[in-house]
Amino acid sequence: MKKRYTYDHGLPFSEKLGDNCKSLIKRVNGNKAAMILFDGMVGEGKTTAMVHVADFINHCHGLPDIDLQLKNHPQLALGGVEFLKQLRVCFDKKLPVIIYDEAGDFNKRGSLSKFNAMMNRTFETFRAFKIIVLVGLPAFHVLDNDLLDKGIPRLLMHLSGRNDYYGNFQGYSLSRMMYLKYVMGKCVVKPQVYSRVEANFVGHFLDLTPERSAALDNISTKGKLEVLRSSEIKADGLMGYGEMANKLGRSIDWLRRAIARLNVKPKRTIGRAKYFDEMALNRVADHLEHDYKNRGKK
Amino acid sequence: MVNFNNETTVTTAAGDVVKILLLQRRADLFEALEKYNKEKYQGVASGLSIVKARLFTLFLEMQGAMKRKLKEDEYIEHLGTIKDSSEIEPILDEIYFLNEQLDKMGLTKIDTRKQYDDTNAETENKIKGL
Repeated sequence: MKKRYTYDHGLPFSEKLGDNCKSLIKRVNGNKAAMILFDGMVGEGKTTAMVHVADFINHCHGLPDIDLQLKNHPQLALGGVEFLKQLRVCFDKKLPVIIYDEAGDFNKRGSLSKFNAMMNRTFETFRAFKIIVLVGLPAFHVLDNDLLDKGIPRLLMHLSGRNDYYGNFQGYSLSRMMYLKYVMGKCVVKPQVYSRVEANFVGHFLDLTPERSAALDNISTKGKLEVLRSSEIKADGLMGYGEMANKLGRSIDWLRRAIARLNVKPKRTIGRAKYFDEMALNRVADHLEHDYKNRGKK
Repeated sequence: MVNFNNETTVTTAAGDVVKILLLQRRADLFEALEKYNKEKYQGVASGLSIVKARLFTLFLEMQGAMKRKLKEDEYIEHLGTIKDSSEIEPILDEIYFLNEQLDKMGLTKIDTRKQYDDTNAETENKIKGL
């Protein structure tokens, strides 16, 4: 079977999804917020489907495919922190869509966190930017109810059963999403709920072209490596310059000079970033104390 | 109405009973009409007696409502046709008329759900007020 990258109608996904996206473009043009959720287990093609939809929305606005360069991908954000930065860039560049991938960091378990409060506030106000937000996360039911009550997510795309040639999706409206979430609360095997609630539409999507797929892999791997790096550093109790400077109450420049003077060796170097352990912090702290005493004598 | 033969106090409104009776009468009338048509198409000589009898019963069941809804001369005209007509055409006209009345009363009106394209999520969101 020859691998295809578009269907006969010219799109890489079923036409019905295109019609639904057009309705959301109309909604955004009417100054209302629109968000599409993409959920599915690992490897079901969430990022691929989101890139397809983002390309389609760009085309509807007469723009080219979204940029997937490693150093310049304003319409693709991995994680909430990057999303908040990119949203502003998209607004400045008048881009109509943004992908918020790996959105597992925005969930109801952290509902009281500062980050979630900031994200909620952003989602309450982003309608003014006239940007459609595509959110990719493994299970949509981890999202705060508040978001659904405000009517911000308009469409849920549940992805499942992907094979070498195509992926499958089921589309749910907001009311059906609410029903799904309610039933999931009572169900042990949560993914089973998708077969109990009828979808508004179902369809398939194809893979990205090999070039775009490779570019996307680069960005995605980089993002995942960063997650791995921060987990590694946290597990070993290491600190970067920023965190150390914060703890000592001195500037990063001062800290760099002190570390060079004391010839403190980093415990680990990942890429160009250096990480230090608690002992290094204590040595610099002693040096700081000594520095104060010397100043007093003078 | 209260069911005095039972100790429980389950009640049924008289109107609900009449509604069910009306629908039953209508089904009986359709059955008779079906039998008449079947015999007619088979070329077997058939009378209108059972159709007329059942139509008259249905009209009586609706008599109160008909008296309120129709002008006096209209009411008398409909009653006269049902009682005296021996041809199928005026009988059919009366059946159509009573059928429409039942629809207006909401008894046979089943297409009340709003029709929309439910394959478009945003259309459904709007319909549901979201």
